[in-house]
Amino acid sequence: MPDELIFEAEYKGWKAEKKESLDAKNEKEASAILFEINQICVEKSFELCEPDIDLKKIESIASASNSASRKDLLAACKSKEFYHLAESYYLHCICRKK
Amino acid sequence: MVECVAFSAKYKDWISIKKMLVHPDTGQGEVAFMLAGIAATTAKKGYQFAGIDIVSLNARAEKTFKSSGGKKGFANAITALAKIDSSGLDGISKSYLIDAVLEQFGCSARITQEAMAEIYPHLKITKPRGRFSKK
Repeated sequence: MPDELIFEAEYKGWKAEKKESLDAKNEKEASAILFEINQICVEKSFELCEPDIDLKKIESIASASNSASRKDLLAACKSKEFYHLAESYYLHCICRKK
Repeated sequence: MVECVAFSAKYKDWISIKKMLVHPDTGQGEVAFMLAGIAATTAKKGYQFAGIDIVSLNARAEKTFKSSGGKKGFANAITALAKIDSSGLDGISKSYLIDAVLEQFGCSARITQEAMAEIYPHLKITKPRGRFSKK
């Protein structure tokens, strides 16, 4: 089996595909490809939680301030069980700014 | 093409295969759960292959955690993020440090399978195959 990375996804009109041979690649090059796939997965996983958390509202909280109250984030959730997803997306937005 | 999410990797002695077929009754949460698993694997291996000094970055993360009061939680994590000393670090090391600091506080800037499994208890985290020592 050759050294390679394959990521394929198709779901409700969304398609992503990444195929790279790693045969002649060093570890840093392999790392860079892994992080490309990572970024796709992280962004899409948040997007798929959109019915449960209001991403736009959280983005606006994150762009307005470097701190967020539980009340603000709860207001961006369909119900309180999704609160931790809202926290993670808020941290994701803050870390993107760094 | 059948709808699916599939990741396979082979590099040196590392092999990882994750695949799910999407059926009409597959929920968005299940797809997000799968993507979260792939994200965790690609981050872990990506950092490992990047050649960064993980031991010293973990020590910096622990120091940040302790100097911020040593209490877990979202509010404390936000305060600590502002205090992170990333001087002299390249982009990938800085990114690892932020992830490591958040982990100290029990937080994450990405969706984790653990968080999704709390919301959707039918989602099960696959344990790695193989035999492990009892240590």
